[in-house]
Amino acid sequence: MSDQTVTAPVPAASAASAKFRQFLGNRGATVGLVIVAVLVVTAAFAPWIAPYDPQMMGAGPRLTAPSFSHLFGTDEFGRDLFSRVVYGSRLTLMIAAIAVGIALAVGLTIGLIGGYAGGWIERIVMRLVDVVFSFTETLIALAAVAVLGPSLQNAMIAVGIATMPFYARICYATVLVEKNKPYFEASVAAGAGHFRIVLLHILPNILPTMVVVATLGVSTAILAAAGLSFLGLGAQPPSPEWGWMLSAGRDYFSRAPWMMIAPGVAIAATVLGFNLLGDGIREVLDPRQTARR
Amino acid sequence: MTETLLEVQDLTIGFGENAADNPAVRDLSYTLYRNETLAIVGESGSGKSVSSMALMGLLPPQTARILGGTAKLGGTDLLTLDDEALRLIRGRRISMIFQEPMTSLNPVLTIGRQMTEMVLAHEPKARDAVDRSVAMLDRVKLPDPKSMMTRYPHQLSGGMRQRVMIAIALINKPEILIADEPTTALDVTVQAQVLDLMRELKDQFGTSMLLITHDMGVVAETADRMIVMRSGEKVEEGEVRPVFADPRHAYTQRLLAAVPKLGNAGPAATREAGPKRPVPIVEAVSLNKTFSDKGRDVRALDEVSFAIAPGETLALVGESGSGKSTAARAILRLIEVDSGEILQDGANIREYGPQMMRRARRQMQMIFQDPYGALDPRMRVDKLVAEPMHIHGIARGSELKDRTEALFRQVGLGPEHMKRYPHEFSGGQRQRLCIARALGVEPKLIVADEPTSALDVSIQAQVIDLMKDLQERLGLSYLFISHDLAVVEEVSHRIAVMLQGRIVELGARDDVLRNPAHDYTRSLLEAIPIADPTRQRGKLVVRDRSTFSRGPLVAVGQDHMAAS
Repeated sequence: MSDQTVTAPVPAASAASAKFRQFLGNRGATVGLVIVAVLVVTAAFAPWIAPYDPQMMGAGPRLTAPSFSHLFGTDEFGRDLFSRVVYGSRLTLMIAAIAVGIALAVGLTIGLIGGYAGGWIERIVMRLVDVVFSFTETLIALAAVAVLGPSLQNAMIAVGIATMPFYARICYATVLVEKNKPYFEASVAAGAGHFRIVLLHILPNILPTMVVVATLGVSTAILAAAGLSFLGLGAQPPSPEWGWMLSAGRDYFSRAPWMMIAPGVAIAATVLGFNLLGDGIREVLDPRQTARR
Repeated sequence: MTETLLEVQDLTIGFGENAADNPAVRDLSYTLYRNETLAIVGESGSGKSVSSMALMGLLPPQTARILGGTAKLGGTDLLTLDDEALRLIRGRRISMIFQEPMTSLNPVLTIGRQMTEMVLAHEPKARDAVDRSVAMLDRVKLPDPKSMMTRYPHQLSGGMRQRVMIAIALINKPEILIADEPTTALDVTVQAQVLDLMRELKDQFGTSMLLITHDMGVVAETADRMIVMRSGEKVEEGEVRPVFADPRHAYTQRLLAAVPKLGNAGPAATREAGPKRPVPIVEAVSLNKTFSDKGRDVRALDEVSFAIAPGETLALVGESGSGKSTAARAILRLIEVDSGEILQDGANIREYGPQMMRRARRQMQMIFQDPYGALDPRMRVDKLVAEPMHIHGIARGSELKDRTEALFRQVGLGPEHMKRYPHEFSGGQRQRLCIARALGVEPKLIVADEPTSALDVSIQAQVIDLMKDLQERLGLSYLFISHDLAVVEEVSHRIAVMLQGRIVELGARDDVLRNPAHDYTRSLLEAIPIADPTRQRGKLVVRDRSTFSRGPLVAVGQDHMAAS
């Protein structure tokens, strides 16, 4: 009757591999993982994959339809669209990383402070977040770009600021849940200070949720940044940014639809990939789906 | 009483992919006779609930699989019925009441709707559904059954809700009532009333009852026969009296021995509480705390004063809402009281700043009711145990590691357990980890909030033994919060009984338990189910809690005070 024998301990390694198997069992998640992996590989090896310099004019005749020598066709300056899309993946990933990074860093900090401190700090901080939340993302991004000036770098900052409230709210709500768990009171009773409780106890417990939120947020950020570039407020020519390419192709849509199709499909596939991946991670990490042991 | 009603044979149930390798219930056979109460007893994980859910077809369909066996009710095998056939049996021939009266009623429907629904589900044309519901509510002794029909679940107390559940379960006069831990979530006085009611109704309706419980006291008071289960297998079966008097299986013997019985604790636990009381470790003076809940003020602490001497265990006893947990947290300043003093070494720690408070907390550590939640799930247990020592700068580096290992040994765990995460431990082991964590800073006082109530009895006994052993060796003081008087008798030197935020009786353990001076203490003691089937308790006198005297404490004996 020794309680040692009641439950067989589950080795952490097997639990992790079981979760990975569960992840792979979800077909959508696997597709998402493949798309994102292809994107990352493309970005990393762009110089080897792209047959032409993305900026080189006259790589082929102007406005040629897709063919073997120009897989996605060429644009109005005779640049190879396939090479431009391949190089554009670098920009897209950078936009995603930086915009989400900014949003996550700011949102996480605000959410942690608001949720942990409570009282008047919470009220002030979270009401400010609500104010930002009540404008649509594009509007805030537009305003930010209007202040900072149009450039890819500023577009990333603008998207980061615009999507931040979403991260802050979820972080705040998660912190409130963790604060009500007994281990929180237990660490206070043990004499732990604020920094220890926030950094060593609460943060590790909310991180899985925030990872899911960030993965799903990547697609929002990519779309928002592409939107800004499309409006001419983000990436400037001749950068091979997908949103800008989309915009440039608009004038030639009836003669050369591939100019819009190539970057458009690239954006759609990337967004889909990150969404599927995020959903897959959420399914694995969702505490409601993991039996309480 | 010999007419067979339900016959379960070789029931085997498994979970998950490897269901057949490690079944949760293995070859379980039993017979339920007409108009008898059969108790299925076991600790968590014994398969007692799973086997009964299978009868109702309530097992989770994705994961659970019935691997074999039959359950014959009359001529039909319940295990082979389809959904529609099962539906006709559920609520009509077999009913069930659940452990959680708070959540097993639908919160957005009136009691009346939920009662009549049960009638109409089986007799869609019944015109007297309302009348029958009112009559049934009357039979479970709910006051003013007519107006009860229009009320919502949140307007009722836990005990009233469980009565409603019983009324719903019995309204179609089922042949079998399955009661899964029906009183575990209730306070002890309410539990006694509900058990009384269930006994009475069982006889009136001629219903057979399948009582699933871990509580030997409930078995002794309610059941005719019993089955003891362990790890999915039946280990013993028989009439209640012979099994209690002469358990055959070693597991039953251990289970019965582990049950804390009131009046069984030897005098050894009592420390000589001489007339010259030493300087207290901590003293609470006139603590007051009012919570406001939706505009209504609830006095959680009302002029609460007590003192704890070195090496002494003071038990705070009371039912839910009595303020005992608030008092425990107030001592550690996890909750700030509205007024009053908390004295440690003569200084009021309520005036301390963060630095001083941290030092004060070194003297006072806490262990919690829920050992599952009290350990940060994402921190390795050696780090968790070492954390308080780290915080208070007691040791670093290899010394910290050595001390952590020593703590693991002290609570009966080994160094091989150190590199794991909390979810890899059982409930009892987790509570040991919590104790190890509290001991690291060499506190003088440990506040223990219901430390054993989430644990099985056998493990509960181990944890209590550990706590007592540590007290002997280290001279610890405990503030022990509990609703379970039998456990309290085993650990405490002095007892304070709380009722609605006030201490109504305070004195040495034996004075309070053997010679209670306050009516409320007496009613608590009378309500405890006794794990002795030969002892018959008379009918309980139901008394409203607000009728007890709650005046200032007056001395009724040496070191023994009661509210006037």
